[in-house]
Amino acid sequence: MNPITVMIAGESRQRAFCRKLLDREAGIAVAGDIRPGLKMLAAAARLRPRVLLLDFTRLRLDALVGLSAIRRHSPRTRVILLTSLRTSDALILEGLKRGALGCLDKAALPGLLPKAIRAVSAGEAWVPRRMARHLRDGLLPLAGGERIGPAPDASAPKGRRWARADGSRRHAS
Amino acid sequence: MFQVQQAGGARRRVSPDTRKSIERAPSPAVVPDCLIAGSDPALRKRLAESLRRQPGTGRIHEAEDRGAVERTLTKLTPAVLLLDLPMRGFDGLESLEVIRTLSPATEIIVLVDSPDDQAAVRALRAGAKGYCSRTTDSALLTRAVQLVRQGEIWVGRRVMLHLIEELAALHHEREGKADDWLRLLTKRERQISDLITLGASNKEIASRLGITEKTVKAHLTSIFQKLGISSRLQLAIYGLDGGSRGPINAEETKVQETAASRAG
Repeated sequence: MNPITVMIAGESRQRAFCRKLLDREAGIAVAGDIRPGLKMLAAAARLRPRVLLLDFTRLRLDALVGLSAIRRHSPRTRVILLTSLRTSDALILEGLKRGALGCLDKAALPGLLPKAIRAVSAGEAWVPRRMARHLRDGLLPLAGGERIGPAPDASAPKGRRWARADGSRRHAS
Repeated sequence: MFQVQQAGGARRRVSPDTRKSIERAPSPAVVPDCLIAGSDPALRKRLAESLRRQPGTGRIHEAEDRGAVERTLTKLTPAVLLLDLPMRGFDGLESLEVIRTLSPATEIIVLVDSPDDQAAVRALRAGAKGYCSRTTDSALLTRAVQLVRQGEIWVGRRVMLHLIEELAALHHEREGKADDWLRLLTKRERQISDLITLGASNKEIASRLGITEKTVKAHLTSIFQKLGISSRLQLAIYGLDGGSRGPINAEETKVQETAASRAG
C-alpha cells in the first residue's frame, strides 16, 4: 500500500521535530520540508503531497495567502494547521475558511500527529470540538430578533451568550 | 480532539480560548439534570446508566413519548435534553420548536439513527446544540452533555467536516464577490497575481508556470492595464487585501512609493 506523503512547511526547528516524529511511522513518508511561502507552492505542485503541515503559530499574512493559493494550485493536498497556545480561535477559523481540514497544537504533536495525518488523509476533519461553535456562528449569523440561546433564566449556565429580541447581545452573569 | 499531556502535579497549559471555556464552566465532573427522551427503553437505560456513573451527577429523568416529555418539561427545567428522533409523538426537527417553547432554557442534543449532514445543519439552525448518532459511545455522549451545558456545540466528526466545507464554500463565494478585480483577470493572470503576492520574481514565476519571462511580462502588462495600476507592489496589495479597497490602497501605495523615492 502506498504510504501517505507529507510535506512540512514551517521554520527549521519545527520541521526537524515533525520529521523525527514521522520517520518511524509505518505508512507515512515525509516527501519534503520547506519554509512557508512561495517556494512551498512550487514544492507542493512538484511533490504532490497528500498532506501538508503548515505552521500557523503566529499571524502571518503569507500563511493565509499561501493557504488560499494552495487550494487553487494543489487542491488535492490536504492541509493541517500547526498551532500554538498563541493561535486564536479566530485565526484557526480563517484557516478553515481557506480550506484547511485539520489543526493540531504543537504540544499535542507527539501523541497525535500520525493520527491526525491518517484521519485527514482519509478525508476526515481533525479539529478541536470547541471549533464547532465558531463554525455554527459563521454559518448561521444572528438575525435581528432571532433567539439562539435560553431565555433570561437564573438557571442558565454562567457566561452564556444569547441574543435579545432587539438583536443586541449580552453575557448572562 | 485537543489534548494536552499533564505531568503529575504540573499545571495544565491551555490556550486562552480553552481557558475561557473552562472558567465559564461549572466543575467538570458535574453532570447537570438531564432528560432522556426516546421510545427505545434499551437506549434510555444505556444513557441513564452512563450518565449516573459520573460523580456529581444531577437528576436523570426519562420520557418515553411526547406526552411524557411535555409533562416533564412543564414541571422541571432540565439543563440538557437528549432527544432520540423519531420517537412516539415527535417525528422530526419540528419537535424542537415545541420543546424550546415549553422550556427555552433546556439545551437539546438530537440523536438519530443515520446522521445526515444537511439535517445536522437544520437541527443547529432550529436551536439544537448537538447532533449525533444514537450509537455514539456512552462516554462520549456524557462528555457531549457536559460540553453542551458549557455553551459548546457537539457534532460528530463527519458533521464537523460538513460544517467546515459549508463555511469554506461560503467564504469562497463571498471572496469571489469582494474580489471583483479577480473576475477581470484570466486564469493565468490570476495565477501570476497569486505568485506576485507571495513575492515571486518574474524569473521564479516563469519557472513555476513553465512559461518564458517574456510571457510573464506580457501578462503583467495586461494585468496592470486591467486594474489601472503600475507596480507589482500595488498588485501584491490587491492580493493581500482581497481587493475590497483595492483602488484606494493602490493609490495610497503610489503616493508612499513616490514619497519614498523622493526621500532617496
